[in-house]
Amino acid sequence: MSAQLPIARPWYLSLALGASAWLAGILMLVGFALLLDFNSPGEFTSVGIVLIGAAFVLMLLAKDRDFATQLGLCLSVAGQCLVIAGLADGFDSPGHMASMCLLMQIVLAAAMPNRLHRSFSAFFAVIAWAFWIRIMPFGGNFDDMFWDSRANAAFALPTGQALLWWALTWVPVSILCWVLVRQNAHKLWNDGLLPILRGLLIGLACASVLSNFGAIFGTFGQGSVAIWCLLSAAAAFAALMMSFMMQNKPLMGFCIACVFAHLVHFYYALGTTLVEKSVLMLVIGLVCLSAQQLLKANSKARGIL
Amino acid sequence: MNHLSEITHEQHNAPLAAPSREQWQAFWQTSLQSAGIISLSAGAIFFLAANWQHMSRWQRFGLFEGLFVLCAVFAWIKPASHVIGALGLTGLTVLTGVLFGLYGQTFQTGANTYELFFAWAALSVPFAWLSRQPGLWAFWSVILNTALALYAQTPSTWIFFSQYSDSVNWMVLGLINLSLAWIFLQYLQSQWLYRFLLVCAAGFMTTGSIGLAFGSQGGQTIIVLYLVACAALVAFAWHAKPKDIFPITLLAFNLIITSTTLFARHGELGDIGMFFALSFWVLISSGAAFSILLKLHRLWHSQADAMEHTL
Repeated sequence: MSAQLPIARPWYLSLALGASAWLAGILMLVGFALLLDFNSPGEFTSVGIVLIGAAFVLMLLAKDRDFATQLGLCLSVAGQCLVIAGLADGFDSPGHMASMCLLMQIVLAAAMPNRLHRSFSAFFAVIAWAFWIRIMPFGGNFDDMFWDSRANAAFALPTGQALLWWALTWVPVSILCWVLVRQNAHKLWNDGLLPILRGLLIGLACASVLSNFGAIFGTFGQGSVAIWCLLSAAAAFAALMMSFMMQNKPLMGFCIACVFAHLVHFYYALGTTLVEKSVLMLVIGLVCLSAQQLLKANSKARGIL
Repeated sequence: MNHLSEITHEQHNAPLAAPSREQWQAFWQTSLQSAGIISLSAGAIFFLAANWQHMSRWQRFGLFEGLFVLCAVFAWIKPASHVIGALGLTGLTVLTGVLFGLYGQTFQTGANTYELFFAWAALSVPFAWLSRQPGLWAFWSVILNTALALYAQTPSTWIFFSQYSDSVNWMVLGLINLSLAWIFLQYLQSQWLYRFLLVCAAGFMTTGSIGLAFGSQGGQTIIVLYLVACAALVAFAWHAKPKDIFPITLLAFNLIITSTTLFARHGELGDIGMFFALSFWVLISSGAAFSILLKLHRLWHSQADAMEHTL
């Protein structure tokens, strides 16, 4: 009798719960920062780890109790922020910091007994991965990357290299998503793999722009910046395709919104003239419509449509 | 019944069915067609933007009026259900606003920006009506909301707007969006458009109630309008078939934000105590509210399923 089986939580309720937990976590973080007046990276990190540990225990015991789960998420958000603050203080190299964040998020995604937390951790793992891969070959400092245009210039890459680094970052993420999406019969699918996959797909759809700091702030370009936005749109489309495979309509809607956002970003990106961008878009449009017509003709010939 | 986002545990534990060959065909057809049209449109817009400064007044008007006529021809020769007809009606809606903007920019009419958006919304009604497409109505709603939001921030004499405070205006906008949601639900039966308008309404309500928490003028009026909007959200939830917790989830989220703002503004616990107190308040209120909502959701769906079995 399917009518008597419990019905899963709707997506918008999960979203509202996650948003509330984040808000509470940030407020708690400020409270802890004011209360404990941290002086060293060790203090940040140790309090952060204790909070994450408490979150783990709470989530393990919480089962379906919403308040305990919320408290767990909130403690984890505050704990992670403190650990990251400790890492930022402790490591001079942003590359090491990004790799440590990546490791932390992978461990949390695997270990935390909560679906929403797993999705969050997988999403932040993608962001940490993008930073790590981008920073690894160049070194540098986070503040300079974001705010100093001269330092940004050191990150400008010729188009060929930019494509290589983009591929090195996002092809593995896409492959991982593809592998996970085909594991839907696995016994860990529902509670483990599906939430992680959701987080990865959200990251693939919206976070690929992080691979190029200059593209975010429009401070530099060597012809590669605008292409980056189109590649991001392509990554969002790949995420859309996999969301379709999961038949997840809210995620599909999010991916479509990301494709549009990358397109708007493409318009404003520096380093490529509007005429070049125009020609590029017209060529893409013609290729897409030609492919659609070919597909249609093929389908008619096979009697599918 | 069509529960798009709700999956039973039985379905959860079953392997996800891969899309069929026909579904993949439809997906690629739609995606490639949409990507093609969007890319060509973007290419044309980029090209225009690149050459805009070099075009004379006549060339600019000629271009957009030519496109307008072309879209009208498309809409005339093909029905709205056909992609060409739908494209024509969408183009007419967009170009109406573009022509208004171009006219205002070229001749410096001195008109307020909200007048442009109101005129755009009014003249676009027939195109959206003929299309019967939820997407075009959503776009029309964005134009109307932009007009109303701009008008609400302009000194004027209309009774609701600017006579009291911004918070009253935001509440009125919330109520207008709730009315639109109800009308579109009856007219188009599009769930996503209905939910989109409810989210807009809740956004305006929240802005208004935060203003109230910060001591905005017109307190009693705001409270009355706020209560009417809350009642409308509950009524939407109750009268939906099957009963739907989406409107009450928005209401709960609004109440959590409003109460947290009130607490932050009027609480007297000192900095450290206040941050912890706010954090726990958000946790307790959200945990309790969403737990009740989940139970309600399950109850309503069980009732709906039982009713379906009976029938």
